[in-house]
Amino acid sequence: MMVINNQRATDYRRAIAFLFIFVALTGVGVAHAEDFSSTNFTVQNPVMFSGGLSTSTSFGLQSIIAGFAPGTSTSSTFGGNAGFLFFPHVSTPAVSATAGDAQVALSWTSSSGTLGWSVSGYDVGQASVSGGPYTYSSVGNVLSSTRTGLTNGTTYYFVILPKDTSVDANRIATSSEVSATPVSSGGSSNNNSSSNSSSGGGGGGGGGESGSTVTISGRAYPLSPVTVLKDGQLAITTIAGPDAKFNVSLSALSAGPYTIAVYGEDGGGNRSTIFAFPVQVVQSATTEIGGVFLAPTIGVDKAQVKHGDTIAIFGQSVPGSDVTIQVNSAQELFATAATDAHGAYLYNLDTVPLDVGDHSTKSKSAIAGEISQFGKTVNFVVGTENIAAVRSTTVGKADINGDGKINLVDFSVLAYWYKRPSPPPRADLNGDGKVDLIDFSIMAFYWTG
Amino acid sequence: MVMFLKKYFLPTFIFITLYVNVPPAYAAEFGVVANPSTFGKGAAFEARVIIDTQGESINAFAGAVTFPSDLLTPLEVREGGSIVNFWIEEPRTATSSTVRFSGITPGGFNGKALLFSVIFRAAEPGSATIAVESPRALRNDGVGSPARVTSIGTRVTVSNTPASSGSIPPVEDTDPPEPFTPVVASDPAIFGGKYFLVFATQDKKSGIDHYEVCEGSIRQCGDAESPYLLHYQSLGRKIFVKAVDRAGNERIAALPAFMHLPWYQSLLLLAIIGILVHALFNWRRLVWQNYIQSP
Repeated sequence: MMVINNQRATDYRRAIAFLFIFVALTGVGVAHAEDFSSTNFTVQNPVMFSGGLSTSTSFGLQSIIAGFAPGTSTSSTFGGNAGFLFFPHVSTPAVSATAGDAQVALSWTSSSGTLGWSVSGYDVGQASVSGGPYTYSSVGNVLSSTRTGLTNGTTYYFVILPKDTSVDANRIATSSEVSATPVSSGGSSNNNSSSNSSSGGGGGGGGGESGSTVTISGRAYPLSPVTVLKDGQLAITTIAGPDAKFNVSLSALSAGPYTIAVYGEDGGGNRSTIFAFPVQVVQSATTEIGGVFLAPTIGVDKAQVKHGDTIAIFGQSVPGSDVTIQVNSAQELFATAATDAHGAYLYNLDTVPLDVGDHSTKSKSAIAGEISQFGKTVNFVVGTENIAAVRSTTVGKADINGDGKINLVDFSVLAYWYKRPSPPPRADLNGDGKVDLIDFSIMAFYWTG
Repeated sequence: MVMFLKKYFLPTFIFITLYVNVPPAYAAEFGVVANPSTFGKGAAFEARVIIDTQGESINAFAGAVTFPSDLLTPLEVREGGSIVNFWIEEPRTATSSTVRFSGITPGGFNGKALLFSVIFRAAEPGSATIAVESPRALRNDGVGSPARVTSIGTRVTVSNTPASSGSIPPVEDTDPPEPFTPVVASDPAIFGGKYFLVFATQDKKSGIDHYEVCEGSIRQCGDAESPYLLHYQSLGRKIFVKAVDRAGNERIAALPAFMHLPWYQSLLLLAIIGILVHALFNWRRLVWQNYIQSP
């Protein structure tokens, strides 16, 4: 519903129509979903409901921007999406907290948006009780903030909230909570576990030397291995619990910047994308990293599907989570699937709406207000016959020596052929006849440590 | 209709453009920071080379730090605290006017961090620009697509006044480099399939100065770079790899003899030994039987 404050409602409706067209031209604007239900009707194509888009003194744009119904647009210059499945989202950030003297240093990963939703900045929520209530501070579009003026010995709890680009800068997601207890510089600092700390598998790494500690918690796949890399080298492996939660710690670290990377492997041996997190380790302090949420694994049962048949899209994520599947075609399609008690999901995609040709799909997962990033992209073809997908038995073409790992040995082989003429085909990862920075970038993406 | 378009189309377009959905023009930014930026003649100063990925996940970095060699003399490169995990071209001061570099961060990096620092001596008075030329940053997307990049250099001024001090204090560092595990490998693609050694570690404060490899004894060491072609291809000797940081702290990783063989090669070796022992036993038994049966 739109409320106009003067008599020229018709013209304003035209104006709003233009506004909507430009929203569509430049992507999808901000939107909020308000779910509702009735026994008398079914909502099949809900519109996006937004507010605070205009601050003009001559009229007020208070609420609705109507959505296109699928198939009502034939323009080749813009696309319109409608319905709850098309609501844009942002991934929830992973957050680290390091206690200091009367302060806590926070850093977090950036939230990535879909369907045109982008992040304009972040709020830091701070509380002295787990779960809040929080007091919020706007810190701008940054990925770190140091909260000062804190009381040593008191445990503080923090959440990070990304904000959208609207005039109101609405908070559009809430991270997992992390905590830290500041101590005076004469003592040793300590962090407590976050309120959603793992009930699943755990483990510890390092030892033997005094130093700093980093704890990492998050969600992977139930009862499956989780690998932590420290600066690209294997640091520790643990097993996630039945709820897919994991919690590990790295000890005996020096003060300085580290790149902590986490990846998991589902029950079928499919590896997740790497979740990387830069962290500044402080001498003799514990840094807590919470809210790591590995994206779902994904696979398809057919490399080519006959047009009109179904193709199964499946994978694994957190048990009880909602998986959103995106199919990248001329017209993007979205579908949802719930995971079972083992975290598995399955969606049989009807290919009738798809054009003949190349397509791809990827998925993300959501549970308890946390949303993962999209995971790997899987390609398939809609054609004239069904061809079963062949599961890759290797970790990727970057595994130059074929030992099932992509690590320093493969890097060394690649480095040997860097800028040298006539490299062997297996060292030339993108097949352009040379080994250059692009080949190293491909290797870094598939790295296993 | 024309009036309508003038009245509503343009304001609507401006409104949308300004407020609703302007795609951000992100570009990874290479920067050089020297603070302060004015020095006396003969002074030594640090120029920090920074990457700001501007919201993108980047896993490969490359470029060349350039400067006027008639005004500035590069003294050393410090890599302590770098976000780069593995250097392809380690930044060195080998040439007088360029410090080339390239490296990767597995899993990607998103944020603002140090790549490395260059320590310069202000040789002659004048103004000099230090900048990263030919900057490259590749996305962590599995295909190495290039990210948009910008480069912001820094301008330093060298005065005629002689500097009171010609050096900057070394980084206080009493910690050894990070623990690491060297690996022995062989691959037909390099060194003709012979065994080689790979190793890498980091030092968070002063940075790695060099590595030494010792085959057989800790007293028989020589400077080495990874990958390192092993002298003793029989793999029958202990191997030590010593990482030394710029403050002189050492971390030694040891590989016991044979333990670095891949398991299947160890089994193969055991099988060969077993066959030889079995053959020797049978031969001795045959000789013994012949001896007994002989008149």
